[in-house]
Amino acid sequence: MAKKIIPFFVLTLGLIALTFLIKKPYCANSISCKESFNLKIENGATGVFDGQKITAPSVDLAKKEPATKVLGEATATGQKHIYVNLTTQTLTAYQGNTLFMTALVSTGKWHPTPTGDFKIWEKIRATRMTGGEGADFYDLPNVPYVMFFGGSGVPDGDGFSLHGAYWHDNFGHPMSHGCVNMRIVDAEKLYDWADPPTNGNTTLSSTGSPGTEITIYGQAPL
Amino acid sequence: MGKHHYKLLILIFVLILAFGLLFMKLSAKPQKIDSSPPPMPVAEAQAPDLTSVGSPDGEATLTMKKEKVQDGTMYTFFTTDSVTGNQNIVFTETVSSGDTLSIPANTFSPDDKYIFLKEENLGQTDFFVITKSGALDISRPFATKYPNLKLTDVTGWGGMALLVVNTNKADGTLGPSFWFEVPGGGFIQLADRFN
Repeated sequence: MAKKIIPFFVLTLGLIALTFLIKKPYCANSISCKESFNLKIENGATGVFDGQKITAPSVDLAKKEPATKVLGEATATGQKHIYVNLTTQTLTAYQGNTLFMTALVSTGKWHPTPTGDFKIWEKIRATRMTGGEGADFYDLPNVPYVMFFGGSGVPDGDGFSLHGAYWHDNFGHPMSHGCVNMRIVDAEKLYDWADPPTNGNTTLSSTGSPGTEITIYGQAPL
Repeated sequence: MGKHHYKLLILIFVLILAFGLLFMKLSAKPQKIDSSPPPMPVAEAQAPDLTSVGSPDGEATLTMKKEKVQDGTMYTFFTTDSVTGNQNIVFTETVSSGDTLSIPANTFSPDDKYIFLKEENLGQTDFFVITKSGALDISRPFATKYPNLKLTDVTGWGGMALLVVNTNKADGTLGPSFWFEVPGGGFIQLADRFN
């Protein structure tokens, strides 16, 4: 009996060890690399960042204030393009030659933000993001206004995105695990403007409705 | 000398005096008569100097009002709730000339519970946090606790109540970063430098 059990036991242990030894591909914002691509609202949930417990702000999907149009309707035409300058930790968004917005951002500190040309492939109103290890572990529910991007050899599934950040206010300085953190008000403004046009709480780009192009360049001050 | 002579002398004296007075009056500079009303001590009609920074969640705005006063400049900081419009004065200080206060870009803590401000005076830069209990100084306690380091900047909030403090070493090279913990007021040295 023992002769049959021991090899089975050793094989099971070996398989478990192998699972831990195989290095998982880097995923910017999810342990599973699947979880954060879906809408996830967890009002009242607590998260962790930098070893600190954080209560995530509530997300009310029913509440959407109409955008204030003090200067009337937008008249800019042309291609939309988002630029992220890692050196200055700033974001600028243009439609054609018209500047739409400029904002301070926080890019990768614990893992670099990739450089190159990308496209938004999914927009999610809010989701949970988890990742990092040890002291850098983070688990953040209700991350708002998420715009996932891919391109330049970075697969969509790597989970890099532009999104709002409620757990810090140190914009203009690297503070992320690879994503582009924005003030919530700035992320909302960009989310409402960027393509694909928002349709519900999860919007996927398609051939007929491509995502806005993003160019990320420069060197973060690390 | 007869009685008539005395009368004549007095008359001549009175006439000389009268002419003299008349001459003095005529030779005096004519004074302008200002018909406008006298100046009133009214306050200078000058729009107050306002600077505002919004919170990252868009729920509040911090405004700095700067006004010249007799002894220098009076700074008033007030928050405005973006939903109700309610205003609340959170800090007021009058400083002498050469001393300036300002609102850093990342002034609001992520939950809008605290704000931090910057004060510059003759090349000396100080930072302090405003809490419900009052102002909490950062620069002086740091200088006392770490005399070999120079606090160079407070960039923003690394957490709900943790300010990012950057330093230089005495030789001018980059020093470590610290958390400044509010409201306890302690410093925590970090392994990573926050640039």
